[in-house]
Amino acid sequence: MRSDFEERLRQALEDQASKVAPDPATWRKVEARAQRGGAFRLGAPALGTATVVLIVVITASRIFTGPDLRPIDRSEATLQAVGPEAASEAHTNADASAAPSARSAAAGPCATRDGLAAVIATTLGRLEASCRGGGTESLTSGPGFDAHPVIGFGRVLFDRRQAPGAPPVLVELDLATGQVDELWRGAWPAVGPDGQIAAIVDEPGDGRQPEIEVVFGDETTRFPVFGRGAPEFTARHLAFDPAGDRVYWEAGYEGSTVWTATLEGLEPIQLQNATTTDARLAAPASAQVGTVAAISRCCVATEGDRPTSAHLILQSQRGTIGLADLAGLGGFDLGAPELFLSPGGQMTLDEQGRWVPAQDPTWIVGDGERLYVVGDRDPIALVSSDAVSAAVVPTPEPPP
Amino acid sequence: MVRTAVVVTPTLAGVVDDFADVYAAHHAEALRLAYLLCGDPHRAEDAVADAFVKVYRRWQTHKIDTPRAYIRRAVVNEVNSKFRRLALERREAAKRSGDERGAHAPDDHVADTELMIAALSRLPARQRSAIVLRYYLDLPERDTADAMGVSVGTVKSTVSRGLERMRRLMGEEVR
Repeated sequence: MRSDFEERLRQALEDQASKVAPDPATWRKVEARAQRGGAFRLGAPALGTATVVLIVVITASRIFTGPDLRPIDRSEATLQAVGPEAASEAHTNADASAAPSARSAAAGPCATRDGLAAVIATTLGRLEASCRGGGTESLTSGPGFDAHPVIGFGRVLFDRRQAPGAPPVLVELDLATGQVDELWRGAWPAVGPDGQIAAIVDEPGDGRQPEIEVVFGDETTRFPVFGRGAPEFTARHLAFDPAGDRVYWEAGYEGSTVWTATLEGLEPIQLQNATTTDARLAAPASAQVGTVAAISRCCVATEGDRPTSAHLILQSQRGTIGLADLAGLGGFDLGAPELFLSPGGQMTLDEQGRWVPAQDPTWIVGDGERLYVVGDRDPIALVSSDAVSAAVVPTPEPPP
Repeated sequence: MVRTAVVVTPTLAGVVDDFADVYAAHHAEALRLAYLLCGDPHRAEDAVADAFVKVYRRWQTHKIDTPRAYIRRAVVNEVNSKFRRLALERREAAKRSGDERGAHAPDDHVADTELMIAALSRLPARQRSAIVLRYYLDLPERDTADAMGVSVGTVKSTVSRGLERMRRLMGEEVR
């Protein structure tokens, strides 16, 4: 039986919904947008037995490699959605081509190579699209230094520095349109499940700790990365827990440490490897609610010491699980000043460099120069020998 | 490089007519759902248009057994994918309606509706979606889960948390 509050809520929703009336012009919008995407003209039986469709095709390289990545002029050409879901759907339905469809005009990153699998930041500070069918395409080529991409809601968020030492700014690239927008100052963006955007804000020289800023609509929350005050601390590698109520990050001065805070409590708590207490954790990431993955290096006592081991671990309240020995990766630099880790979904690379399903959840790990995809039962694969960070397209939900 | 091409296709008049019927039958409900989710009538129409384009593309190549459920899910996905950009406008609108409440001294019923909608607009997208689907469309938990692409258990916990948060936002006692 519903409570009084629930009844009032239901009445309020009905009252509110009654304030809006359908606009007859919407049908024309549907028609126009479907037509621009290469679909058949809608609602036009008067056209008789044939329909003529003008398809404007603009190649993916034109959209995503422009020097300044200006928004596409929609009056010039408009594309169908080419976000991760659309790209995946096109891939999944590659055989469903008996009838011409909007997919024939598909464009966007990797449109001709089975769709987008991941976005990779190269050591030169450019973003590349890694295609499911193998190969890469350039996403950015401007004068800035682009890094730390994350993917969410059909968009790539990353940070960009216009010059060495310049403050990083968050940038959003819409995968469907190619439009690029600068958002606000910050680095190491993370996207929460409800669209929250978190980033690390650090103003060198201001005598304050770096802060984590979480923006959700017009609500902004900021809190220092280290509760007890240590202005020399650096912070990086921010990640959301998939539940959206907690973030993880790496902070460091002499060696790295991993921290977490709930977005309600905002109290940073340092995490430690429960099984090897003198190990240092770095590069947190999360693909499962309440569980953080990190790279655990041992034994690093002071800056400059070279660790003798590095393991990928999973840590939750139930304890710590070791996943992979990174010392076994050919050429992996255990002492690299900055490590990288992000969820790889359940994808890996085959011998031809194509993204294929893996047997287990995978992770992308990097040492600042090389990126690997690591899984429990799959062979380790080299993603790039010239990249610092990457974001794998999340596994799409069933359509729509 | 921009290329143009003219493609002559065979008729799809039957498909189009069928889809037009589906559109006519479900547009109003889709619009009201989108409006409750995003709070702006113009953006709701825009999201609904995009949702129907996606449904149409699917319609061309696949049989859709339950168009109403499919459209519902498309609308929820479309609105929520645009949620971040809309949040600011929605909340600004909520603030404006708050100002107007004081100026016009509305009756209790209207005031309660405005408070409810203002509280709803401050929920995270997932909680708001679950509550609108459950309490406006009156969907069972299973259909709500299907529309959101989540499990039934997630719907239960999400609705519960959303209601609790709304009560707190409205200054009402949380049981």
